[in-house]
Amino acid sequence: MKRLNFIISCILVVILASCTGSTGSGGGNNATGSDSISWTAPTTRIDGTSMSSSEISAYRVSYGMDPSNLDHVEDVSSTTRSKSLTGLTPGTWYFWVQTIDSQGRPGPPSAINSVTIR
Amino acid sequence: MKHSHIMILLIALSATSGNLIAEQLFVAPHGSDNIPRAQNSENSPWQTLGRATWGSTSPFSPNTAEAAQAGDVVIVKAGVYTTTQTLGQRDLPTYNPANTGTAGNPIVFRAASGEDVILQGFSGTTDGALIGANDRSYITWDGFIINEPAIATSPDTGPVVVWNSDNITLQNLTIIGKTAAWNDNHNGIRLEFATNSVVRSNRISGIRNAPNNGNGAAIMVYDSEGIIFEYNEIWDSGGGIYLKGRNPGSFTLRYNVLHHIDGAAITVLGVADGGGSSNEIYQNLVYDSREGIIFSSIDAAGPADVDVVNNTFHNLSSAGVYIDDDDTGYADLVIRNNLFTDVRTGIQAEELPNAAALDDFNINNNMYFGFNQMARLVYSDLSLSQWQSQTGKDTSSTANDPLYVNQNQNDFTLSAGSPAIDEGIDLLNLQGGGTSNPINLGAYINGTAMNDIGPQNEPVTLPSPPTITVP
Repeated sequence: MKRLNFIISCILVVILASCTGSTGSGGGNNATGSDSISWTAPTTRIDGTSMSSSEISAYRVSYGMDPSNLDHVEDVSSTTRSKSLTGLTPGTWYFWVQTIDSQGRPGPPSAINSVTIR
Repeated sequence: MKHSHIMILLIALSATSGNLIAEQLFVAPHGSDNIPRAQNSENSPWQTLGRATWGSTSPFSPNTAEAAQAGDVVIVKAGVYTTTQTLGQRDLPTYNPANTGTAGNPIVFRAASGEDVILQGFSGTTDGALIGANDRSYITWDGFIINEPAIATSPDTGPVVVWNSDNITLQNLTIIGKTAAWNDNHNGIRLEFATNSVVRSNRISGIRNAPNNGNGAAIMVYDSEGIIFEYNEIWDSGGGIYLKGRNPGSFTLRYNVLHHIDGAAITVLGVADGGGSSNEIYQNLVYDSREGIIFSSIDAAGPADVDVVNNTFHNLSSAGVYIDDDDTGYADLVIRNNLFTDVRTGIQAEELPNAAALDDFNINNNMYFGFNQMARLVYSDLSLSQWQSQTGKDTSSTANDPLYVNQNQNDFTLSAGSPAIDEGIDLLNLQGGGTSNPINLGAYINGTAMNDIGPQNEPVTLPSPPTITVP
């Protein structure tokens, strides 16, 4: 019975931790001050030619509170498909992700997504 | 020439140019919009494209004295330029210039040579139209990458819009489109009431609307006249070039390549006779699509006086030419010297009531090969000989293999010994030897000039963006 209570407690902790902070498009649910995003890798370049995963060197995550000036920029490795954004102050945060190819060139951003931190 | 004569000439030139002091102006992400126009330079650039177009930081409070003026060339350096501004009208681009250009002194907005300049809106507020011209003359947009996935759009518009303007040049643009949620028009470039303008060497892809019909066309044209569409590449879109509503005409579509179009590569609907100047559709390449070209008429306004000459159509799941049922406005339509290969149906006219309804069409000197049925008329399949005898069309046309050099690599130039060589008549005098001279069939009239068709610039090969997923 103690083991069952422990499991239920763990489940509740996980549920609470993932439901208490943010709403918005493209963003996950997390505690106030943080959020996580994820993405799928592109398979083409913008001229329509195919692009393999080995041609991707990194992803660039940009975020900020002014959608015309996303002033927080972080690069993550090409094997990464998600990013936790921490230290977010309350308000609406905007973000996009760019693919960086093996020549170091960032492509056009994804659609601009937003999340509201309460 | 004496110095006094030179002085007089310089004074005269100054007077005729309206004392314009044309500038080369610069925009770069590290710049500042507080810099006065007179102090703008490559080392002191503005930060936003809006500062150059509006002369201020808001389209609602333009400052013509501070904005780019006739004769100016605005060089925009590499970067991602996002605007949160919107003017709330489908026909009014956010970056509509505050000033207009003049003959000989256009206003040019140009991406810096060899640099990737990405323009986008903010998906929360912008309403589609980003660059172009509304009620302006002599404006050029050159070399930008338009990222529509980061622009909220709305019906009957697109990221590049020209409205009630003349002498506009849209060239070397790369437009990355998206699928809109509605049935109404959604376009990459949209022209309405445009005259004497050029759409050249642009690459447009990914333009669709949700029902995925011809309204999701890469280029849509209404009420326009005297437009040249040349060297463009259009692919992966619902429709290609759609000449739709009540256009006075005088259009030229040439040297374009359209492929992987869900519907018709070219649709000719409301196109009038151009006031004596023919509408000419020649040396275009269409492959891996549904229809090559659709003729349709909604009223007596056309289509009229359209020459579809020397085009290559390959691998079409429907028809090379689809002739819609209502022939109210059909007049003087020419379909000659074209190649139709691996098409389901060469000429699809099944909805017409009888062969007499084709009287407005001059169809001949074409070559058909690899079709399921050469033609359909009044819901019957016809062989080439049946089509010839029942309609009197295509009497000099043949059903031969034109022997492309390498169609698997999209090389549709003609091999030596091709039966399409010199099998046409140069109706448009494309080779300059007269309108009765022989000419090759298809788009490649000069043998091996494969690169004469499609954009005359290097493609932008940046990686596509990832797709954000909701955890």
